[in-house]
Amino acid sequence: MNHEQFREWLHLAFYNELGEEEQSLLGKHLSTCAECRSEQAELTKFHKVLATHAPAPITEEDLREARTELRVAIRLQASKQSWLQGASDVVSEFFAPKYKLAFAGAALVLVGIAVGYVAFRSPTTDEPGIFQQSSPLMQTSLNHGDAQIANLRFASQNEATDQIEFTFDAITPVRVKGNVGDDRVQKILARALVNEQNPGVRLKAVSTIGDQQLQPADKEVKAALIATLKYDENRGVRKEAMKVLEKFMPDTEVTAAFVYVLQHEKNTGMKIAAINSLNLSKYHEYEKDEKLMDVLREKVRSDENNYIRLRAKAALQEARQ
Amino acid sequence: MSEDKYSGYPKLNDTDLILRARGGDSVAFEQLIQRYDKRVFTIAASYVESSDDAKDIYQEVFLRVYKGLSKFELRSEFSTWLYRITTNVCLTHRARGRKHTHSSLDREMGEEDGQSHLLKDTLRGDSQTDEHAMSREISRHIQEAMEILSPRQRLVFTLRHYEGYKLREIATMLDCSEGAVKKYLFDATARMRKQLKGFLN
Repeated sequence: MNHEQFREWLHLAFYNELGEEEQSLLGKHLSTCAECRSEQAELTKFHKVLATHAPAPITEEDLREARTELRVAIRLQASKQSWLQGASDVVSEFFAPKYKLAFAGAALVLVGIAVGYVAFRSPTTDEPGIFQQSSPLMQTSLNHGDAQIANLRFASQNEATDQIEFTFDAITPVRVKGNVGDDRVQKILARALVNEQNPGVRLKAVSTIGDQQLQPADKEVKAALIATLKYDENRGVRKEAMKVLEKFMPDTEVTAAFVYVLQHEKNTGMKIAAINSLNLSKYHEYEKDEKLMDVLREKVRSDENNYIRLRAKAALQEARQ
Repeated sequence: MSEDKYSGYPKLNDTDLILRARGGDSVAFEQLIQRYDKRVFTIAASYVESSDDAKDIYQEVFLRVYKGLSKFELRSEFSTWLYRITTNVCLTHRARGRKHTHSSLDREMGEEDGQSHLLKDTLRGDSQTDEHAMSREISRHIQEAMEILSPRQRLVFTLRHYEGYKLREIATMLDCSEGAVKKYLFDATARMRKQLKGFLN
């Protein structure tokens, strides 16, 4: 066994990557090699410093925000894919008209069988597996035919036992009556804001949320509004989200979101709204916010809009005083 | 079948969730994500400096999963595939408009107040009593020392040192040999030690 091999083992020992035998051989070597003992002492110091200064663990808040932003991104991706799918369907239809009728007929028969199976078959207690994930409310809607059935997908079919398994999206109208300031109502609206495809509905959801005096504790609502401000593809919805978020100020996360808009937004009106919403005259010690200062400097240097350059310059001058 | 206590959705294994998610079941996809996303976010957060960058990596990873789920071969473990995507995204990630300011221990400070003094003197002087400030300063230097590593060195170092993955597991994630992982780790350690020499002594 050579000296270099023991040096490698010495490193691996700190990561518990050595077997018992290797550990024992290393121990023997250390008792006779001053150079390796000195290296061991140095490595001990190194690992100690790193262990006592590990990165801060992630916060639940960051994770929640990341999840909300991901939902928005997936919604955008899904709408892109459905558009592409639509285009591809048109092309397929154009190239294969002779299969169109046959396919449509087969699909209708399948859907008809499945809907008939779901809607008209009386539920029995000997099959506990049916409606595995639906609530009693949903089951009632299905039995009364209120629910719209879409995206029917067959998972399996056993011809011997007549057992069939499939999934579908059952969309049933739910009427909610309550105070718009109610925590649960706000959370439903926040969810709609993130998941809803229709920008008109998202806009209505934001403005309804904004009609209320928001509590600082509404973290889910705040996270949904921030994700909307940063990522919603509709400018009107983003603008409305910014107006509502102003109510949370002064707030570190909302400030960061406004800075993000100032830095990344392409629309000048939105950038002007962001620098106004930051309301730096009321932002105590904003000069300590390094990210904000960097963005302001960058705006002074390169923003194409005169007003933004002037506002950023004034803010920087004020910070120096 | 037992249910998830939050969503009321049946508790399924990864394969069943993937099959449902492939069929367009968004609840299944969300459950699949939430089974692993904390780990992905933790890896991202220890690899990059800012939480914004960590969120970018997180989002990119799961968008790739969303797009690629239909092609995922169920023979292999979902977690292996997911962590491989995570490491790939980390390696190719470009920090969001961040300026890398590598300060050295001999960097001059006090430009703002016009009083020039060296950082190492500051640390040796009165502020040494302020443990919190000192600790913050060391953390910052560790972070800066990590930034000089190559992306692969940094990722291997992060995964082994902070996340506690075994070298064998890291090799699987990075799709390389265990020997290569060792080399990245040793080189990273050597460079970090050199960079942090001032503190270690």
